[in-house]
Amino acid sequence: MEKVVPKPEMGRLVDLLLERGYRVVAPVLKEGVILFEEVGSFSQVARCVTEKQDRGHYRVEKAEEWFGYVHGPNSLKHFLHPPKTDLLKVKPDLSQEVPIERKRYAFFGIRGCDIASLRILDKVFLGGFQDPYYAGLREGTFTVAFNCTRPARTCFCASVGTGPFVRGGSDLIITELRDSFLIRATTDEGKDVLEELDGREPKQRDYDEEKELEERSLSAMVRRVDTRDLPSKLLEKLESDVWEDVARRCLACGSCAMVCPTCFCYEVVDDITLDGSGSVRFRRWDVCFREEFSTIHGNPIRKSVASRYRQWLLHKFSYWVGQFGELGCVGCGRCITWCPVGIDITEEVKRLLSDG
Amino acid sequence: MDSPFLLRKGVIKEVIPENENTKRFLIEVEEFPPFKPGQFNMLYVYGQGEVPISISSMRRDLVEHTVRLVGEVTEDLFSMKGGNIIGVRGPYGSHFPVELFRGFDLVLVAGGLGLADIKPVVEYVIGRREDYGRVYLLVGAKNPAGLLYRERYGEWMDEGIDLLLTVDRPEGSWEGHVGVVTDLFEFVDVDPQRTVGMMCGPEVMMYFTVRKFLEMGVEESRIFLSVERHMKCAVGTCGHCQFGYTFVCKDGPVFPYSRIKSIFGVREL
Repeated sequence: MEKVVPKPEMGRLVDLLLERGYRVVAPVLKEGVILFEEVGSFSQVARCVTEKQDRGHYRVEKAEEWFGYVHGPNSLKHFLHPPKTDLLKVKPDLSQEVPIERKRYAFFGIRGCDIASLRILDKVFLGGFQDPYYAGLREGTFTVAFNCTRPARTCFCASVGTGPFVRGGSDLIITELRDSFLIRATTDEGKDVLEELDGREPKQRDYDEEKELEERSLSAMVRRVDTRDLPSKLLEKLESDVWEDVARRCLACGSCAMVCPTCFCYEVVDDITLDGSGSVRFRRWDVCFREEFSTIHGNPIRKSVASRYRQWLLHKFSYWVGQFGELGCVGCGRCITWCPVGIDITEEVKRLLSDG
Repeated sequence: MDSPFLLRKGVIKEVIPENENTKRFLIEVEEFPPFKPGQFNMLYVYGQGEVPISISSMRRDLVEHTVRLVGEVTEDLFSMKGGNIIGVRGPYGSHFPVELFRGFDLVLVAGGLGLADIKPVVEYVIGRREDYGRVYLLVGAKNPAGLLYRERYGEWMDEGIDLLLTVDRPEGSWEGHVGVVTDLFEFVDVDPQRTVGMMCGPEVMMYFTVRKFLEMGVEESRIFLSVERHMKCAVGTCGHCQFGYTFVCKDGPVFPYSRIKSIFGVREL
């Protein structure tokens, strides 16, 4: 089902989702950064701004288009695989309680890369052993995705096939036209919501305008990664000098892994009460840039920063395919923008491929 | 959907010191599921955390684990006695697929604590000894005290296991072989076309052992290694045990060499 709706209807859409009991998560502008946060009304949603992103650089500026931005540092994993999750409440006699949280989210204003990250996280947490903590937050999710018409300079989603336009996997997919929105519903739940919005049948000129926007978006994308046979090509670069070179710049701070929408690694910690009467086992995000990440018997397997950067890059572009059947990178470029020293994963891949 | 982190209650029945930093724990676990040689459990000490430890015996009455003192959790384990309670979840991981190789010769190689992983294979084979050809067990340790389960060696040899031992440093009354475990291959007489190799030990030991098998002419897909990595969840979602394109906890710990050939032996991987 498709509909062209006037711009003010977007507020109704958010209201409809709230009325249906969803916790609506949407981009909001906060202290100069666009962040996904839970909202109580459409007025909180970031509008008429765009972003200037580049390696180690992020600024928000005013714009004509309502949704001509992409995303800030956080992503949907903050909601579905939160930074800290309680796993088990244990007593000294080992009686246990499993604290499962259930939330029904509607993700509004997400992008093709975010949709891809959902599919990828689903494979991690639901593809093998079932993770009930993730499932409790993921079940019944509703998605409202926007086609990106103003990709950031750090975006390279076209290279990994996740954007800039969304090809499905979302309940509603929206293109912002000059003075309306073209909305497609691809699921029954999506149709159900779209039916309640005022609008008209799309005309040929709407499709033409959309097509133009897509072409503009594609040609605005300056970064790319050549993904042909990339997993196996990179496996041949395990001993490349490039790793040492990156290590001279890399601070091993882990920012890239924190902002990455698919980085899922976590550690498990026991938090015991002072009187010893109970212990909560919880998980919190961990990053492969920490020396302790790989430590066994007190010795880290990945001692050098070079080996840790290699782990991170190869996980995204090579190992992931062996583990889950697709690339672990969605091309969102967050790791490029938020790297404090401006390391650019697309550049490093290029250098690796041309090395030796 | 049950939590993969739920623990079974385990009651420690007996603690047997093996040497100054190794102890064997016999644990009563209600309705512990069937398991295979080479698999492991997560052992939980209340308020402290978990450690992955391989199951070191095929016995079903009690679950046996051989533990080396290496960190905070094992330190707590070492202070435990009969009657104490720990958490157990498992069994996890792949196993040494010895059941697929009836009629084959077996060369089992263990370095140090690695014998804890190999011992269940030995016990499995002894339970159906006539199904296999020659069965060698090559064991290396730093010193004679590092040779685990020495009271069982006589019984294993009586059951038709060709047991060969070596130590790096002879001490006390040691009169046996001195050197690395791969030295013992010169005493191994098998048909490489009908041979399966299985090993567990430090990575450098396995690296050279794999080379020995390849030199002998044993097929890559019939050389099995048990790999060790840091583990937190044991169900493939925490990411710590990544070894290239595998998760050691669920794809391993036991791999045929052919599966990990391109990443095995690469430094700091």
